[in-house]
Amino acid sequence: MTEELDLDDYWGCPDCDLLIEKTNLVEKEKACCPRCGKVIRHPIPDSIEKTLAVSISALILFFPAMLLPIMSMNILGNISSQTVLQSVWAVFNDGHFFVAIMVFLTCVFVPLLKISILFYISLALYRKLKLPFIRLAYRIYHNIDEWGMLEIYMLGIIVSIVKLEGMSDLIFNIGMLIFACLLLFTILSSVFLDEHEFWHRIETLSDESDNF
Amino acid sequence: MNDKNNLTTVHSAGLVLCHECHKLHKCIDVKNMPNPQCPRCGATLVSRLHNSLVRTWALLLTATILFIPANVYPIMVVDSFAGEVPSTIMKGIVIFFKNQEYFVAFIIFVASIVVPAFKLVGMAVILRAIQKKSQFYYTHRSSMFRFIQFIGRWSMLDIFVIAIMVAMVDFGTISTIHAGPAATSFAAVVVITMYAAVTFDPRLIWDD
Repeated sequence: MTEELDLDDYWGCPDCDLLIEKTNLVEKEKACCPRCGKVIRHPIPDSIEKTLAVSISALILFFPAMLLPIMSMNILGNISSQTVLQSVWAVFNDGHFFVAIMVFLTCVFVPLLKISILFYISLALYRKLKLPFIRLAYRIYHNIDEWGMLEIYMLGIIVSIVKLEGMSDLIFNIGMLIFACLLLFTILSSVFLDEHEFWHRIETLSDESDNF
Repeated sequence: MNDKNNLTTVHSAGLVLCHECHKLHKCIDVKNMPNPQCPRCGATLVSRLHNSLVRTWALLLTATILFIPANVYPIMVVDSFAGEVPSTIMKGIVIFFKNQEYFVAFIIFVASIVVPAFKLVGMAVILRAIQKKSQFYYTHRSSMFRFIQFIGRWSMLDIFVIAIMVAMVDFGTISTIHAGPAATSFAAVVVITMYAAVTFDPRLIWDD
């Protein structure tokens, strides 16, 4: 029969299913599974405030980054500029619908959804507001986490610059700088997020409420 | 209560770990419910991901089959007054190499050929080892799986490069770049292998 275990004293490793006794962590310490090495807990100080600040910045930068041209090329007087949305549209017009949809999802839709969700949840936790659908939003965040690929798009821009350098002069527009800043804040938002602290706060926030 | 190595697992202690919010629950509390949900996050509570091995094998097989047209067909077509010049992934890398842009050639080679191949072979090795109940290299398999999860997304690099080039080089008859048929196959390979890492339950490596 099962012994009487106090579940608050234990962690479970999601990678190897080991039952681990909780330990108190000092700041900047990580708790790793002794058997398989997976990071179980990584507490981040002031995670809610930091996430809120960074997600607001990312949201402000998002629409300029997507709408302003990132770079332009000039061949014999013809100029072509490119924004992220234009690259999606160009592939779509080319007839490759799956590729266009995937680029749109991974570089526009998912990053926007991620920073919006982080803003929504960190705001709710910071001000202790019982906003609707917090649990669902946070679950969606975790499920789409790996599908946001703005950093890879940046690397793609760099590779394209190398490829196109030989063809003609490249002009870097203001969108490049804004896109780089958006990228920085998107990365920071995932660095500052303490997943388990957020779950814990969501649980305590909803303790008084029934349908959440 | 303990398995043969004297370690208690969540499963052997009669508990279940929510796969989304990682909260521990007692099995007896939830067994009688028709659709057990984690009270903290609302996810369905399951001890192991549903049909993990079967689904992961199916996705791996699909991705392997699609990897062939992704490399055989051209991924990019350069259209100029000199005619159409199609290039496959490999040919694009070789062109970079010949132009002495070794760094970029290396990056594309790693992102488009090495990473997908490593993911397909690596996941197949892990799945095979689980099915043969191999007793070796547990930690290595876990680390390899985490690495596969991490690098999976970076294969999309080539797709983004093509999307950017198609948008940028749009000068009519002087020079226009189109994406080739391999683009869809390659994007599908990346997406499917990423999803295979989602369907795979890494705890199966450690299950006796």
